[in-house]
Amino acid sequence: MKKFRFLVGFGLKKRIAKKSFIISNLIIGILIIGIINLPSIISVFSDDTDEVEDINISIINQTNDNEYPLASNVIQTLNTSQENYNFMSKNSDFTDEDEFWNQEELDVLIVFNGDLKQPNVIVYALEESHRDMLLTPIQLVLYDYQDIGYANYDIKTPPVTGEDPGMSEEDRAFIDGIGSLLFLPVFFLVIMATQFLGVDIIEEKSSKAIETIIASVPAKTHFLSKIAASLSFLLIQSSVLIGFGLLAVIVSNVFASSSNIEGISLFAELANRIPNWGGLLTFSLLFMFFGTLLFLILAALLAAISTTQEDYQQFQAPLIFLLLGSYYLTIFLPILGADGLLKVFAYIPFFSMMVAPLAFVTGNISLLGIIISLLITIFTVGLVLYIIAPVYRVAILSYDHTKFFKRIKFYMKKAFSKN
Amino acid sequence: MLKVNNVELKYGNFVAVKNLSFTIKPGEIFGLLGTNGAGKTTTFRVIMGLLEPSKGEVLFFDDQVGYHNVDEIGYMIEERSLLTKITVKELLMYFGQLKSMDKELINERLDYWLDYFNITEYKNKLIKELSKGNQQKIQFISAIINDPKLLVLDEPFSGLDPINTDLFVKTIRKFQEEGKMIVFSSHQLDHVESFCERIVVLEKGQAIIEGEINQVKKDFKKLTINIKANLDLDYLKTIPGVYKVINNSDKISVKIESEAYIDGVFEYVKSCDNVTLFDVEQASLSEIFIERVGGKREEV
Repeated sequence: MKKFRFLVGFGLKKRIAKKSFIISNLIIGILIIGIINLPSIISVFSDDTDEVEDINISIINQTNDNEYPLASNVIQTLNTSQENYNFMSKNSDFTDEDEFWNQEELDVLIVFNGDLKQPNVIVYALEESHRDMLLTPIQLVLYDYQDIGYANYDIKTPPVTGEDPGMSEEDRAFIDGIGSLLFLPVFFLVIMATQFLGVDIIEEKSSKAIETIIASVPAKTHFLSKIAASLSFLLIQSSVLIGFGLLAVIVSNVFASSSNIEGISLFAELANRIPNWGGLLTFSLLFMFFGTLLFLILAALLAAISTTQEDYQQFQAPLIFLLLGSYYLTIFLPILGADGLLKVFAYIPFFSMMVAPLAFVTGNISLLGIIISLLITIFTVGLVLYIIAPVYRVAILSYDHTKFFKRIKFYMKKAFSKN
Repeated sequence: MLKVNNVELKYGNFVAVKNLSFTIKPGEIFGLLGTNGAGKTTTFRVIMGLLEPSKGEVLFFDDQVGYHNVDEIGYMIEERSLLTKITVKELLMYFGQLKSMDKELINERLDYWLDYFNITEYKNKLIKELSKGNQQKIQFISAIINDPKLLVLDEPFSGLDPINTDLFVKTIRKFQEEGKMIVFSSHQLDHVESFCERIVVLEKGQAIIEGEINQVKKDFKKLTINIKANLDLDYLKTIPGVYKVINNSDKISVKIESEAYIDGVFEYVKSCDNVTLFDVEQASLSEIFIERVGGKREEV
């Protein structure tokens, strides 16, 4: 155990106590903070050149006082109170709600009916962001008419079809896009960890130092220590990146408090858009841990089989393609609306590392489903470890130059034969 | 004491080592010889517990060799096995701690051995910046830093100049005087002859010569007679028991089958003029090796 801890520490120190690690992380940190705060930074240095958005609006007065210039008053008040919008009156003659939701020429339709002193106001707006800003100006106009009572507002939303009622198009797009957002760093971190692990093992093997090392510690200890060191490195690197992300949010909020720019409330935004974001985060971390472990075990085997750096670069290509494939699935399956495939890949080890959390958050698999998927991944880790550890023991001291599959076959035979 | 008992190692149908047995006592230097691919490195790997024998056992002070007692063994492999991108100090700290040593003790011994080999100034240099000879010294230090009871040296003199070879020889002798066991292989048979008491010569994984060097030479029987005189070389070749005559620049070497044929040669030489030398010597280890292994000296 002492030697195992020493090997993990040595491997970790070799990666972390290096100028290259510190400098690259400083650069990444500056980039993260810079990119997240880019809109704020640009707005500080730019003139107030916010574009004004045109909104076509139709106001129908069906109240008892249809002589009152309700439409012109509301539009005037809206244009006065909302600087970034230009409300333009447009006639409409819709016969039912669906007709409004299925057209694009009119953005907002407001229908007043009943007693104008306390009217019923029905608001139809195609964009969610338009709905909330309408109410205060309307209420101001109604106060002008008679300074008593409140209107009864009925804010209509478009009818929703599909399996996720209640989720707006924008939220759906946000969740669909989470694949590329959340799993891009995971993808790069796992690639980095497998590279480091492979290079570390092959450096010891190609220099023949491995023989001196394996003469002092069992091959199994060496194997597990390399994986543990890479996994620890990954955790440290992830923590550093998360730290930079949080720092970027803090910087953004400092910007916001010192100017009229809107800050970033990351967790509030996540909670608003993803109903089970806590679950997503927990399962993403668990899948990242066990999924990475799976990739690292295979990377260790490939490095042990290799005799040179070139060999390893060649052998690890399928592993990288597998990882790249998982990442692309998280991007393209939601775009293509391939929910069936999303469900299937969520249960397949290697792919499930990234696909399962996405399938869970998009409602394609249930809580039980994602737990089953996690258990499948953990079982696969155990199985792969059981098969690969003895093969690693044989391969790490061998300098066979035959073809890949012949080598694998030979090592497998040797690892599991009883002489 | 190290006991190798009837060790056999197979790779499928290929027998890499076959029924190999020998014993090394404390304070003994043991030579393991053989041509390339004869099974020397495989035998060392079995001794180190890196390979599990198909049959037989290796006992280190009556205990199976394993990771519980491997910290008492030093191992230097044939090829340079150093991590070249780290410093001398980092490397020896790494190898030392793998032998369960404390950092303070490693540092203390490292300073001693760097001073002993006159390379103190390289302590904080990268391994890759060192010359081949100095890298060899570092590798040797990595094998002895744990003050092992058994030292396994695979081709320790490979690539060394005569001065450094002499330094290594002295160090190995020092270890012998301290009562340590040393087993080594070398293609430089003069070294083996000079400080090994016993040897095993392997060929295709099998011991073809084994025992004390003096006994091996006696058993070989063939002798060389060095002569300085006015001789008829053609006649010399016809004397019974003579199988080869070599005309050197300063003397004539006559190879005979056994000591029974010395008198026949002596009778002829007595009758010649200007006889200044008649010296009978045993065959050298090199001669025995070439003769027994099959005349593949260039491979050795």
